[in-house]
Amino acid sequence: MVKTSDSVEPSSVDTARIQLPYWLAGLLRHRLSVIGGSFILFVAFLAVFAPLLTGFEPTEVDPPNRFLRPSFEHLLGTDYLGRDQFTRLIYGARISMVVGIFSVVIASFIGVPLGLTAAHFGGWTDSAIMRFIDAKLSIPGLILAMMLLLMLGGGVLTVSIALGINLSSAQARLIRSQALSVKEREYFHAARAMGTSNWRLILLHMMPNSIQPVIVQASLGVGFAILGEASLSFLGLGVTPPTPTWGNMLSLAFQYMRSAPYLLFAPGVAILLLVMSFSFVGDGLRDVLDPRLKGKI
Amino acid sequence: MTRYLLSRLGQSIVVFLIVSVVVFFAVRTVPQDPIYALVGEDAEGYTPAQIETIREEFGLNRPLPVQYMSWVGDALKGDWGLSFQNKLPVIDLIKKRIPFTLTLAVGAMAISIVFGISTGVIAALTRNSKWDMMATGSAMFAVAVPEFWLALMMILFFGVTLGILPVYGAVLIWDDPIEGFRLLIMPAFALGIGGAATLMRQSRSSMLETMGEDYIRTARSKGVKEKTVIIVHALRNSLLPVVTILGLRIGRVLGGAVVIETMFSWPGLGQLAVSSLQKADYPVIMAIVMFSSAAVIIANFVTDIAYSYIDPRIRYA
Repeated sequence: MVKTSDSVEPSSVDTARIQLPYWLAGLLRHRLSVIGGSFILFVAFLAVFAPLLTGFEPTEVDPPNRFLRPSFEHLLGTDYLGRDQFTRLIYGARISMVVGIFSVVIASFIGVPLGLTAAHFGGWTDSAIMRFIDAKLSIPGLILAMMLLLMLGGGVLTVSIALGINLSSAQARLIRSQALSVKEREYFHAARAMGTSNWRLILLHMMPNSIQPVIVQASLGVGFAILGEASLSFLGLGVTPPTPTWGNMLSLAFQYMRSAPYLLFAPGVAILLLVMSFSFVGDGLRDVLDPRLKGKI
Repeated sequence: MTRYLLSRLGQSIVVFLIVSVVVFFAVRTVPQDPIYALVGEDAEGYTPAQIETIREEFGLNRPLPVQYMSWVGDALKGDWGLSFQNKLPVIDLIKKRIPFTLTLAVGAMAISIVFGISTGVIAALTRNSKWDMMATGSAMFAVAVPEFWLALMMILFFGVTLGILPVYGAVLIWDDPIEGFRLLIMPAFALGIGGAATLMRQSRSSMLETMGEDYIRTARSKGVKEKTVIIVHALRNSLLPVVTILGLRIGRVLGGAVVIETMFSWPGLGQLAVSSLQKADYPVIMAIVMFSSAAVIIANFVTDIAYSYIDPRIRYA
């Protein structure tokens, strides 16, 4: 939980030179968000420029140099095939970042329409959608994701879809509850009385006024998706070797933990820090966008 | 109250039926043909005609809706079919594994409750002190740490380096209490620590809110001892949201058990889920999913009812 002392008053933002969007200015005054955001940018930089930052290929096998301890040449050592761990770590960052972000985008594209439809039409439509979501929620997330992966096959996109479906129910429930309160507002009644079509009502009146918690939830969801992807590839599902992911690096390190325990640290710390960073930024966004959500999300 | 209970029960049954239909059909869209779980990877030594006979024997040649109806019919009678992998009755496989998963789940929940609520309450009572900072900081850490990595670190430290805890296997706690407990510590801790963090945050904020209420001030001004104020007045009233989280944790624990059981060779449902999903063993997958979903649905139902006991103001019309 972020301390209240450094949360933000949206007014009195420093606007001397450049006019920043209010949410960005707010985030910049939220200490933990700045730390988290910087780390995310740092990882993104490593992921994007990975080929320029290392002299090795992530799948380059070098058997004579297997199980080398960390050294100047191999910053994090080498694994059982002599592959450079630092190289694999920064290439692995690509998978974590992409899956994390894809998953929440997919989750929002599934959850938001479902939640809005349920809220707008109410009655049977609402009950049917909500029972389906209850049904989905009753299956443990990881088991559901594993089933989906077996149906869809492994890969970055399918892992993101599986995790996105998992995260979508939270999105649907959140936006539904917001949309239900929008539905009682005067401007909404007014728009409806003017004969606005259902489509326009949902897209132009209901959605923009209930989307904020979805944005907050999405930023927190990235962390969950990164954890989910790591668990799946640790189990050997998801993105398949030899493509390096933090999860399958740990799975290999687990097998060789007695001969090369140093392989266990970097990928785990990387997951931990990245997930923590996303949750810092998520907390910050929540405090800036809607402090009333504190404790609810 | 009765009416609410009945409608809530009806809802739960509907949800359960949806799960069974969706999962039944979803499992059958897995590209892998389950026949290979029955006859082996390359179907060596089987003629195509024999394979067809086996297909018929397990009813896999019938239309899906027919298969579903007969599955439901049998399942209601307690016959969950035979596993494709070893032709053993699914119900026996599940029965054998439930005690293990249950032990692990109870252990994990116990860790979540003990660590979560105590640190949450202490943090709230010592707000903004170094204790509060430490508790809040470790909760941030515990929410973000991957369960399996925490397990790896514990195996490395307590299992390999210090050699004081066994790193794999499981004994039921009522068969051998000491060894059972020693084997349970690491997996339960790895599985429970995430829940402890969630409970810590929730009990901290809920305790802070309660401590600001008028009746706490009244109790204090009456001269009630601080200890009594905290335990009798504040704790009980700040428990409600914490109970909600506990109910919701069941699903997370069962999901997390998949990874943790695989790592610690813990012979529970999670480990069975991994192996049967890989082999497209339909009857076992169906049984595991139905069991976990039933557990979650029942937990939510019980949580709802527990509300009205903890907070008598809540009366369902």
